[in-house]
Amino acid sequence: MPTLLDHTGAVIADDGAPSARFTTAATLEEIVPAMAGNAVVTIEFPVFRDGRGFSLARALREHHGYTGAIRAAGHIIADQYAFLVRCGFTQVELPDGADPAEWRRALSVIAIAYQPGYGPEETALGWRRFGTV
Amino acid sequence: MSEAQAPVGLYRYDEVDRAFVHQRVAQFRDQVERFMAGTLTGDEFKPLRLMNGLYLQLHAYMLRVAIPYGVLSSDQLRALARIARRYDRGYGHFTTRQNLQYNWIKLEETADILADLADVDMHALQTSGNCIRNVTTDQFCGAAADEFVDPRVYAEILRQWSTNHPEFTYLPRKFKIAISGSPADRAAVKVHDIGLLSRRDDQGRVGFRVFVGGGLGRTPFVGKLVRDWLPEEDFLAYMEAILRVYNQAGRRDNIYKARIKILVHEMKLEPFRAAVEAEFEAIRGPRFRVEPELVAAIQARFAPPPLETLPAESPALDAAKAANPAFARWLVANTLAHKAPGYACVTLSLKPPGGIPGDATADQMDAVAGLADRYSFGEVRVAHEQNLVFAHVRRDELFALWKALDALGFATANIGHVTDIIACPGLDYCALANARSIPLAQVISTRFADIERQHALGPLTVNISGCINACGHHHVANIGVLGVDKKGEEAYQITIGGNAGPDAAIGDIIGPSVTAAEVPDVIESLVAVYLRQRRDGERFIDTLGRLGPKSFKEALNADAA
Repeated sequence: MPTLLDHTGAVIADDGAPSARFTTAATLEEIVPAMAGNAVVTIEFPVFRDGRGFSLARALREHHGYTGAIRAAGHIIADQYAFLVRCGFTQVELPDGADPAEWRRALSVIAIAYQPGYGPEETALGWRRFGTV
Repeated sequence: MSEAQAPVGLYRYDEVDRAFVHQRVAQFRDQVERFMAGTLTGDEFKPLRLMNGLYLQLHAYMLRVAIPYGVLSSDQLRALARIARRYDRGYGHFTTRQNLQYNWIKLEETADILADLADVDMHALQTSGNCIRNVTTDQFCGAAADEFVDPRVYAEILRQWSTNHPEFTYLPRKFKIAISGSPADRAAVKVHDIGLLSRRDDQGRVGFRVFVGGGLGRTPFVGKLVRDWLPEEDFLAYMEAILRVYNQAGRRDNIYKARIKILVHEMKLEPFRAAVEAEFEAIRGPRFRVEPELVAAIQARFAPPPLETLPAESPALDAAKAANPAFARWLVANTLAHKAPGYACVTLSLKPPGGIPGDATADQMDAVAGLADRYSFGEVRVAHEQNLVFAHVRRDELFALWKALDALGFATANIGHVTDIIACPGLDYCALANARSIPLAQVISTRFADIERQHALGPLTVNISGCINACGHHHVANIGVLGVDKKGEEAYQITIGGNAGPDAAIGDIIGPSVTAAEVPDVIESLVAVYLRQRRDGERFIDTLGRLGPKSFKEALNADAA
């Protein structure tokens, strides 16, 4: 079983909740109907450079009111963890052999953001920057 | 840095901005260590180093330092000189994107360089990679007489918004935004992924005309008008909407078709606009609204130059001009009207006869910093034409400045003329190039060095790119030179009729490629046609526009026969 982290870096167990899995090539028209019956929407990155997944998560949150879990899977790297969380992902499925400590470090190395995002930072400050210094 | 010492002309960092650039240095240090340790693969490390400005070139790493919208303080320029001495070979290269490149950098020293930059409120963030790049603007912003909006404030808002943007850091391809505050459009906005022309409505409110899908490279396009009036408050929401459409629909199957210009072209303009407008309608609102308070807060962090009230005319200047024809020529070519009486904007030419366009040694950088302190409130700008600018010089001090610049080699009176050549690094440095650019620029600038002759020829732009990626902007030059590979030999294709201004146009190819040695002769033939055919007051580009390229091509064929 791959290691799962939540949006804070904590290791969590896969509780077996119903999950729908898509790749970054999926369209919102394909994903949205699956939201209703599933507690988790998983978006798999075929390669870490494929940034479509970030927009998919944001659109699910912003335009479709999805409040369930969004899980990133496939080829993702630690340096993307904070971006994933800030786009609305709440879980990451670590690639084989990845070190959770490295991912936690990557999540917190940048504490400042210059634009609105989703995640625990959401309640802080104003438009210009979220997070805490 | 106290308020009293606030540098003129550039956005003054606060503690948050400063903490951020230092956090990014720590992050990069960690990434380099993980790459060295093998937990990051080369493929994974590459975009991370690129987003910190670090390229792997033919002979060494190259570091591209961001100069946001081209404005530097003299202290920052001195820091760049120190870095050039300590980590490079004692010089730097100013680029067409208003940045500075060091060509001889070591990977293991890069984090230290980034830390030195962070100490003077600078960075190399997003100067490469498939993300939103350094926003460029008019080098005379905040000073030019013809400006109606200061674009720096909006360029800074864009810089902050696009920095480490969580959604738009793994785009299909790089993304360049340019913004102009003047109808003269000295920022070439129509050849950018997004071009913004600032406007004011009849009540004085700021807004923008939005062009999308311009660009050079192997498939040049002039940007298409997507929105005629974008109110200031919706400015970022609309950028988000354009980027989101592009991030989702832009092609990722072919690097050569991945820019937004191809998406706009393939989708067609109306469906593209409809998609952007639909996204915009969905996200516009408080979340992305640019409030007047925010604009004012950013504006307040730009210290204006403490200009004095001066008479418009300077008898001393007039006398010096009358007595010194070389100075008079420099005034014509290298100065521009300032919005305040008694001041002028001055361009320092980094294109001496036989020189390397855009290069400056560390000693020259230090000397320029000293002159900036003396003559222009300690502020220096970088022009996309690879020159430097002092934006606020007293007219009665122009003669003294000219003499000081002449001693430095930066007073060539050739701005906008045939030897003010934009050239990419070319095959001397670049892994992508087909042909050398720099030696050719040196040969052309030597051939046409006679400054009286240059002025007789009038405004004429010549740009050189070493390959089809067009970093030297050859497409938008009046005479463009493109390096090509002809059966393993370096050769050059010539285009004419390009224009980077408000009437942006892509040049036409005028015949088979020629050798490097033949290029100056081709330019001679083209200007000869112009001199024979020109009517009163016509520039090269005007005569060419009136006659069409045919007569120029014919003359070339006749000369070649």
